[in-house]
Amino acid sequence: MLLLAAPAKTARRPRYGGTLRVEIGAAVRSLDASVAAATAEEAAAKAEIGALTNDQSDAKAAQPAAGTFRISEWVPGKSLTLVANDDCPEGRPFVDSIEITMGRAAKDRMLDLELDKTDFIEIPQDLARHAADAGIRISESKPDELVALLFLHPEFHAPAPEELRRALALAVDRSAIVNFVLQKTGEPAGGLLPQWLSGTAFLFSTAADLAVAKKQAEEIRAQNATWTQAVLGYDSGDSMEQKVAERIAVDAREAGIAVTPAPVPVAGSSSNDAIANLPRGLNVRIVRWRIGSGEPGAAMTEYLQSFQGPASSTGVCAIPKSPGAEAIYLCEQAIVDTHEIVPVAFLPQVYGLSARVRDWQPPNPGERWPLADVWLEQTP
Amino acid sequence: MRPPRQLLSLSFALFFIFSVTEISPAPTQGSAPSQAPNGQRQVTPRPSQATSVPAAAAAQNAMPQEWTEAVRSLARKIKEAMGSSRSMTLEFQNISSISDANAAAIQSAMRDALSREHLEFSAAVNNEAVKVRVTLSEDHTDYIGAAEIQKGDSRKVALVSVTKPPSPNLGLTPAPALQKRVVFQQAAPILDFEIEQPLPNSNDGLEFRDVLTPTGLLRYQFQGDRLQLQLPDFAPVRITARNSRDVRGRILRSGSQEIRYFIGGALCVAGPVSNCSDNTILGWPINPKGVSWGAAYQAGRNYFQSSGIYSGEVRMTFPAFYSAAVLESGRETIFVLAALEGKALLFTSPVPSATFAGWGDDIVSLGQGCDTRQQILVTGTGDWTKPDSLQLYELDADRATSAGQPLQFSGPITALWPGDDGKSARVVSRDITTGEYEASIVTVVCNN
Repeated sequence: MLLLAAPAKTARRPRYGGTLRVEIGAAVRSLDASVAAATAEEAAAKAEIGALTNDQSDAKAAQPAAGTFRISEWVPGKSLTLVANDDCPEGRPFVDSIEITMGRAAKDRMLDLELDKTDFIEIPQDLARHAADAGIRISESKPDELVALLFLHPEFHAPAPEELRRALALAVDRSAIVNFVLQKTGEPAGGLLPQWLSGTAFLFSTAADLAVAKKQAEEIRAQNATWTQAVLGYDSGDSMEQKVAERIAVDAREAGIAVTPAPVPVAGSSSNDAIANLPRGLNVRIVRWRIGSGEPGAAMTEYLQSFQGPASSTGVCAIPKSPGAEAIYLCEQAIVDTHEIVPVAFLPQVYGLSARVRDWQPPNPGERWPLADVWLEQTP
Repeated sequence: MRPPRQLLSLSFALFFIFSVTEISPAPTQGSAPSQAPNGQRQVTPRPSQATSVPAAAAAQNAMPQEWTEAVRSLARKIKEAMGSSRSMTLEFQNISSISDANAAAIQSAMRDALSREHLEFSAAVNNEAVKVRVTLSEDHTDYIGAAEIQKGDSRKVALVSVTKPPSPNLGLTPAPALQKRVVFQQAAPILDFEIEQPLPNSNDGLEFRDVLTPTGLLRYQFQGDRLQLQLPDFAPVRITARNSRDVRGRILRSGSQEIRYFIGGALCVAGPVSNCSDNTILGWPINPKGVSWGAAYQAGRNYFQSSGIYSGEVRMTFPAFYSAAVLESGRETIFVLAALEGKALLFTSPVPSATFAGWGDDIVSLGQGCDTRQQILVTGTGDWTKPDSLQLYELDADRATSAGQPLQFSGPITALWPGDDGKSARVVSRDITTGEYEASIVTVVCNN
């Protein structure tokens, strides 16, 4: 966890009272679990808010929420007010209420934080450095999100032969992506789990090898010229994915592989209409996998379930109960060796905090925002 | 790491330690990875680490016991991976929090184990030799020993894991005025604790530690040289008071058969027949050994409301407070309160006569100091994501002067209560790295 520019403090035990102001980017239109989220960002926001209220039902449900907060007022897609639940079994939250404003763009959220119009925001990883330079108080989690290239199922898309996958994996300059695209937020990824979680990430190479990639691309082209072409999809609403895709296209071109970045309108959709609207020739896309557990065995099991399907590496390995480091490493290595997924970077979650927020600690993988434990320093 | 507030159960992993007088040096972290020319991820060893250790130095460092079997196992795996080859080069690096000394001992043991497997160490220039690199790494629960065996174009990896041992004990500090003695550690929250020395006429000489947790009281007893949880003494108690998110508790009187303690707004008695009752009206006795003064614990909160007290014939009404120190100097009783607005207020009359800024919310009186001035122990400022400290202040009329160096802790101090002798303090802190709670006794040493 990184905490920069912490302000002077005058007290220690948590104080009760105050309203925590939160701004999020997604416009959450429904907390009803039956209504699917339009984007991955909205799904994440719904999960965070739902966990606070422990109420996945509609705001007007008869049953009161049993979580740390109750819904007080809600304008779908715009704002949500939560009030502390005095009957929470773990104890009433320290703040009296939380006001959540939705649909604010990242740069607007950062500006609001600088102007003291809000207390808590999420910051996209590629803007974290900019935010820190602007003097925003930053908190970073351990790296718990994997950005990777996922080669897609040939039933729906143009297949990417294994030789191309291998060559592209060697062409990607992960260090440059982390240093320049992500502004040194995050770390290069060679495996599926970060070092702090598995302890064995250092065993996976993250270095590019342009010479070998070029040689492999030449061999592929000699067999079939179209095999050195790929259409790389990225979430059209995610500027970070766009930048990563464009950088990968540059790296691939150096190796003689033609990669065309293409925006994908809806992230993760598998309906027939969505498939029909996908870019022509799409055979690889950027995926962001948020690790859901602080236990490496559970995290790997979840990975295998997340990427289930004919195009995945299912069957390459199975995680036993109570796996040791060796079993997890071997499974990771087996999946990486198929080149169906090419890890690129591990990213932390980045948050911006106002000067009065106290006792905030970024959640561990699988945990939600611990806003019930946060308290506000009262300014004199 | 977030301040955990798990409920204690008998199945929790508990770490039992003894009082010690040595401080273990804090382990250092490895450097960030970098890219090796051959494309393999490489971690730059820390500046103090060497890839080989002189035999004399290695012999001086005893290898951590938990690594004994792991080293043997890894050596066997390396031999298996080498196949028919017997000649190897060995590179060793440490990217974990294992200390340099222990890493050197493990390295030395590794070489011995490989020798016992009839493997020979070759000069680095020998291209026929199998290249083996052993790395000490870690995840959040285990240390990992990883061997990369490069034989020609073939690369194999062998791994062993070692569960991380309990955190090192922090004993007496070199602080000139304040000394700390750690008496207990555990993963679950500690609200207060007490040490019961053997009774004078006791035949068994048993020493107990009573540990107050958010769900009740536990008693530990020394069995030989280890502390064991003693179950049958106290019937389980169900806390009926509504919990606060920052629940506070205090043991106020103990005997061999019955212990009285407060948790939030509840008064509990632990003994052969245990029970808890609502105590929001009578409150906690703030100054049990002196001027009688009770303060009601605010339900669902973490502070006290005082109904006031008569000092002589003068009635004094106090604001809500987190903690208080009561000092009796001659005929005068001094009340110092850590008020909710973040300042400490000194009362000798109904109107505060002094305000102290920059103090934490937990304060205790340590009675008279080395030069007869009254002493107060004060926690540092900052929230529960930061290391904390204790600072001694000496009172002179309505002035408080810091005395000596602050005593540092590896995390926030979550509870501070006066010792029964009136000259020490019971301190509970939480290590922000490991998340473990630590119970310590702090005393003042007069340096001449």
